[in-house]
Amino acid sequence: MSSLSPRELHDRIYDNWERFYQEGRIDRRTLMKAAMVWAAGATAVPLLAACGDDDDDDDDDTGGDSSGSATNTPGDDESTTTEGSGDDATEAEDSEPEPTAADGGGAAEGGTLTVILSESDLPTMDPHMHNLRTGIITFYHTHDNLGLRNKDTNLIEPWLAESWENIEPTVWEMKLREGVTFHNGDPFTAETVKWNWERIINPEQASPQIGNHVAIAGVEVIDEYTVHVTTTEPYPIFTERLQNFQMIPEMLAQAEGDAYLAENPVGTGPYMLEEWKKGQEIVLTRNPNYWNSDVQAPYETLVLRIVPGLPTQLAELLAGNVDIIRVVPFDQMETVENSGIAMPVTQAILRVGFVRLDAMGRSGPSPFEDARVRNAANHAVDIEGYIAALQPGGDRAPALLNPKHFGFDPSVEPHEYDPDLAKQLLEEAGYPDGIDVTWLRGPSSMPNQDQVDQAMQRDLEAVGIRAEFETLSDGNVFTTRHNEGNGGDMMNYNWGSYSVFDADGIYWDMLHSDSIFTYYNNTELDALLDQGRGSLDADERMQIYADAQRIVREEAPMIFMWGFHSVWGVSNDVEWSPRPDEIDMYFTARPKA
Amino acid sequence: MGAYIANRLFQMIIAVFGISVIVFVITNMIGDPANVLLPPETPREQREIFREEMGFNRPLIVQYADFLTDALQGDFGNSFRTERAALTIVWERMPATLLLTLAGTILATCIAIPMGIISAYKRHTFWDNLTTLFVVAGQAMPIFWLGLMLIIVFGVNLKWLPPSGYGDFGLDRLKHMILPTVVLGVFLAPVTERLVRSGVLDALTQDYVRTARAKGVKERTVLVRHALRNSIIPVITVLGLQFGQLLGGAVITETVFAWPGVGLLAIESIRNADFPVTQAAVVSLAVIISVVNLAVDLVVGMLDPRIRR
Repeated sequence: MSSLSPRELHDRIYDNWERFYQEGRIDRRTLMKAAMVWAAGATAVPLLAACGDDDDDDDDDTGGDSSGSATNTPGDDESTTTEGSGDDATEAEDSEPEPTAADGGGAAEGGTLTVILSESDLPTMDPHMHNLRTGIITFYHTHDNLGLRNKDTNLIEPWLAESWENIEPTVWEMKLREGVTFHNGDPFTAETVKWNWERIINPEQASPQIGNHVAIAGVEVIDEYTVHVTTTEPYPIFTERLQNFQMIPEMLAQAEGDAYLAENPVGTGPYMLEEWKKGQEIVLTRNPNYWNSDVQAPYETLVLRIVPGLPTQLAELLAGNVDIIRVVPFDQMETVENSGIAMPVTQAILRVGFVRLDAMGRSGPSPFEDARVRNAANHAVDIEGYIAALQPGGDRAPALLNPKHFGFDPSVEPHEYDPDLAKQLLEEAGYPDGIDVTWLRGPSSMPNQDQVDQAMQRDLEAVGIRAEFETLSDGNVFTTRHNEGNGGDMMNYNWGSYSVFDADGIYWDMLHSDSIFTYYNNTELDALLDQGRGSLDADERMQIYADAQRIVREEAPMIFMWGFHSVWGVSNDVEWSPRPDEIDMYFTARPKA
Repeated sequence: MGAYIANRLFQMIIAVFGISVIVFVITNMIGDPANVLLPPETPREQREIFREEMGFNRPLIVQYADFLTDALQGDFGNSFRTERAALTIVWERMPATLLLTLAGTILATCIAIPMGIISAYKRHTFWDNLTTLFVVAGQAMPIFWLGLMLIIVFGVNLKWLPPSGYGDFGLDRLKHMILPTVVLGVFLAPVTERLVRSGVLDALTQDYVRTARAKGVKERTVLVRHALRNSIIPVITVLGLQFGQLLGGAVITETVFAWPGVGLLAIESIRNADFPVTQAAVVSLAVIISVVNLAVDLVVGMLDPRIRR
């Protein structure tokens, strides 16, 4: 590359043309033509500069207002934002007060917080009738749940429920908060809890969330603020069911019916619906009578916008029109960081990626039925290298579990990157010339999935595992192929554990031989997983899952990768951080001082 | 005239019918609604039961016959996603799309006619070349790219205009309209400009123009009254034809600018495999395009009696 800026280079070329004209080497008309091309080019150069964000930065005070740049002092808010280069993202950690933390300072101010919620609108305002993350986020603002996850410990803490206790193996006694009212004035009582649970487990209601509550057998009202919840079997992850399960006022629901609920999100939450402009935005206004005085949302109005297309979302953030966007592509982190308007904020989440190996020959005979070959594949790939070069961060999952899962054993060592060992293992398994395998890939939410796959493919080939990609563009076709047992030797997969922060949430679904997802069959592991699922003793479960992790690590039914990190874009005017469960709580956002 | 209208109406019905077949077949080809509507972990047997209940396992021709019978009565079924009537959802979004396409057409015409005249009148000069540059650029630039560039320049860097959205009724709406309208205008103008240019060029060599000039008529009058008027008929026809292209362009423009019209709705519904909404959106657009073309043909027929045959 020349050291000239594109614009200088451009001008120099035009100067040459003018000289040619003066020297009589071209006629005037040719010069005019050149002038036109030059004019077009001169218009294009700043465009390209703006697009590629290169060093020809004629636009360094995009902040517009002085407060924008004043709040952009590096180190101003320690760990919540990334500093330095884009791929060196530090994590958002506990600088944000938990919703429960008393904080009168930000209470009852005015102003509007604008967030781009999603690329497409919500199908309904009924919190029980969807299965979308964006719906969960919305209804955490209009409604309340019985429990709420502490984003530091990942444990569920009381919210609308004040306490719960396991009084029999299958019976939980729950005390409810008194004096809570819905937006319409209806009281929140034991009847509310009973009605809501019975609604969601009623097959005729056909709630897409019914699967979350299959273990709930029934709810009994003991007194106005006490219920007994019965489970079909001892249910160690019961508390997980207390979150992402929003309470609807039963009297209103019975009077108005489902069609009304689909349009009117009436809950007890910190915000109330003002207007749902379909396809555009959901406008919420602060609930002045919110029961929890610790959570007085600092912004009077919360606008959740629908903007299709990440480039437009990014443009809105950088134009200063919106305060938070939920996805910043990995290659745009630096642009956001250098904008002076907003910062990328990285947060480790529960979702784990891996490459599934057909360890039981479910889709036909496979070399991966031999554990040595599977371990060879794990030693052949440079996981740390991919994370460093291609990810906004990642937490290694040595035996599939994310460090955030309850039961994670930090003493389990990840496979080392050791191509020689990989070759040796392949040879021992009887494949001195290597193997040829298929690798099924589908759409993925992982940042840079393609690049990671290509790097991995190359590293695998280096030891003799020659994998041929088959890439599907339709996620449903991919899922169907995978779930029905036609995935082939290798398959991309990632798993969010249905936001259950427990080893059971991933091990049972991914590895138990009864699961429709599994490509692995091990009776010893099955027994451990059943034991873990049926036990209510936390210490005992820790031990069970520690044992399970040793088996999984040794057997390597997949190429273990990492727990994902997600990147949000947050305006420099706003103080807010995301959560590991990806349930954004915008009522914790406040203007920066 | 009556026979002409009847003939055109018949052609229009055939066209809309053809489109309904294509839309129905394609939506059924792009995916199994059972896969979309049910969670991925649903076992095969339950999927089968679901298909049976929803009628997805019947022969396609039977499903189409049902679809057509209902559609003729304005019933495209309920959205899989929101369970509201698909046609209602589409028509809620129609005003936004019509507003944008209308503004785009007007802008394109305002750009194309003066440019076409100038370019014809000043043939092979700098001005002709400049308009040619504009035309080539307008045709060559992908619509989404131009949209994004305008967003970056006017929304992000200059902050003159909002990068996306629909805005509130009034001045705010107008501000939000400018960028998408420019994109559509630039997308549509080139073809019209070329037509005006060649039409005017052709007219300028005609005897009546020479006669007018010989009579001492002012040059501007010659251009507008004599040359432009006689070359405008193909332009009107093409504007009608281009209306379809414009709605196609609106799909992309609406997506880039988060403009809540039918185009965006169609994209959303395809993404969510919400077939009733896709079908209602595409058929509605097809009907509108057909009606516009019919109207254009009638107008042209009135303007030029030679066409009514």
